Amino acid sequence: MDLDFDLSAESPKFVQLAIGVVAFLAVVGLVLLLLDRTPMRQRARLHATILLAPAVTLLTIGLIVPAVRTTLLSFMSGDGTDFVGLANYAWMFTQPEAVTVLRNTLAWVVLVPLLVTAIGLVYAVIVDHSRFESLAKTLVFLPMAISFVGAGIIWKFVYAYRPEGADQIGLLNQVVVWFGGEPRQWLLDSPLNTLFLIVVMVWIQAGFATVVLSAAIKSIPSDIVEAAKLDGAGPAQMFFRVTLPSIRPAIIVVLVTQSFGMLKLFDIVRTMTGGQFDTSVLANEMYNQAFRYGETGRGAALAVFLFVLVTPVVVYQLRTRRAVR
Amino acid sequence: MRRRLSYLTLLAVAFFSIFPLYYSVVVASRHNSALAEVPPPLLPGGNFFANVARVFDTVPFAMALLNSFLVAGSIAVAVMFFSTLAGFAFAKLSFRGKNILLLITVATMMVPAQLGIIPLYMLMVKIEWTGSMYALVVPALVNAFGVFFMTQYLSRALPTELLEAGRVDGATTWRLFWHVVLPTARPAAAVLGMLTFMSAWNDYFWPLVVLTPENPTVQVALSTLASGYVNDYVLGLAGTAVGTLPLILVFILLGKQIIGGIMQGAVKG
Repeated sequence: MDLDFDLSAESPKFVQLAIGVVAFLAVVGLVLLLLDRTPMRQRARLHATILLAPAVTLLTIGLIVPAVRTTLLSFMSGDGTDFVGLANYAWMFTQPEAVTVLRNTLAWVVLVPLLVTAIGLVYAVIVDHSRFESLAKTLVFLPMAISFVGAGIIWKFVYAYRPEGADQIGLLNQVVVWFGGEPRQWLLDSPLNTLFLIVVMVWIQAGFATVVLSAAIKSIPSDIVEAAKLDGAGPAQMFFRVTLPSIRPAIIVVLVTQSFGMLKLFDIVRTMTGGQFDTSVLANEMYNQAFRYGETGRGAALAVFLFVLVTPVVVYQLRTRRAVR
Repeated sequence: MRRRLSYLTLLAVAFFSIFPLYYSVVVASRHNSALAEVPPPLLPGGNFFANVARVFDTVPFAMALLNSFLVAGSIAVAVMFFSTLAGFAFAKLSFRGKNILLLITVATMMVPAQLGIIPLYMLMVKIEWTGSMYALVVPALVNAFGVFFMTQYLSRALPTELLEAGRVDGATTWRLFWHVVLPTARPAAAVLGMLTFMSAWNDYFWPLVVLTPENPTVQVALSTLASGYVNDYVLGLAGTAVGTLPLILVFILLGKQIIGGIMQGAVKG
């Protein structure tokens, strides 16, 4: 085994780390020193400024300024020199592949939240008060620990295909052959291949939905449940009249969180198909344009479009925020 | 009957969740030739360490693990500290412009990272940070989610009377922060640190953009492993197992706290 891990080759990294630690401690020291000089009785505004300065500065440099620059770049040519107006946006909606990319993104945004919520809900209701509840929830939650890249690798193997006659090595095709079926190229045939990629995401996220919804079910006041039972509500009535209305907010949280996450989806598509075979999505297309083809303007336009799609979620969040207050 | 049905569902879902994981460990511990066996092998074999050794030969995996630990660790520590500072200000100080600033923070939380990545990359090229870990750590030193998370927690958990009492005694803000705020914030900060570490460990888009395959993080190294022309599944799965092990350990040890944190932060996405 070539564990070529000689420390001297890695030493620049530790120098970098040391520089980083020193810089970090310097900032911490500066903040604390400034705070030490100003007794609490003085103006709160000064304190707030000192306390917030690092976070606000970093957020501005790291996100807000780049976001504004991306918007400007989306009106520029590929190399970022000439102003081209809306040409990049026009390109985005007229290229033939665009329809596929948008269709796929839509499929992810709609199907993943629905499937995840449905599975999570059924599972949470079934395991509620069962003997194996905590074990069952842990099992379904475990895939959350795996990175999307790792999940992509695992499922690429599950879907692996060898030509007919050869020995199938993919788990799914082995099962298919075993039952006497013909092996399929799961990741090649559009549009079904996008569905098979979606299964991977459902596999990862079902645990999240289960845990959130199960907690919501647990917090339904027991007197409501008791009253419904006394009135002779059957299991179906119980579910539709009591459980479902009571956990509506939690269901909305899961739906919103999931669809928001799927808009940015990149890792699974990148690892499993690279966006080939008509499986590409917005973020993958943005990566290709900006970082593979050098079309900065087009990449920026795609990023801006992504953001526009997210804005309803932002507005929704801000409004519920206000409602809570 | 109903009972049997529920056990069946339970089994089916648990099988769907666990079996791909289990089977990939089985494959990672066997020789390539075992893949085509009929029926497929169902128990782990003895080849795991040999396969892992091949992973280390194919990509700079030791370096990737070191990089990921350093990057995710630094980010987690910085996010915990800066978020606690800002969260304290938002939760317990009243100053002009606070509400609007907090609103902007919440809005920022929803902005997809992709929106800033192109200019950020141009900046990294200009200051020659591409390929270096600085490019991963510095832009991630603070995030809106962390600030929001700590604000939520501190406004509930930090007793205003305690701060008032300290104020009356003439304690400086430094002393209050060190002796009152930090101890109160510790449990939430720990959860935040864990979540941050996990998401930094699993991050892929930005590292893929800004790093080179010669000096990767774990996720970038894994994607290199999996993108070979001749797809060596055993290799990819063995790498995935090693690259996921740290997080699985964290999950087993601290699962409850992680779930709690994810629930509170369900808005993050």
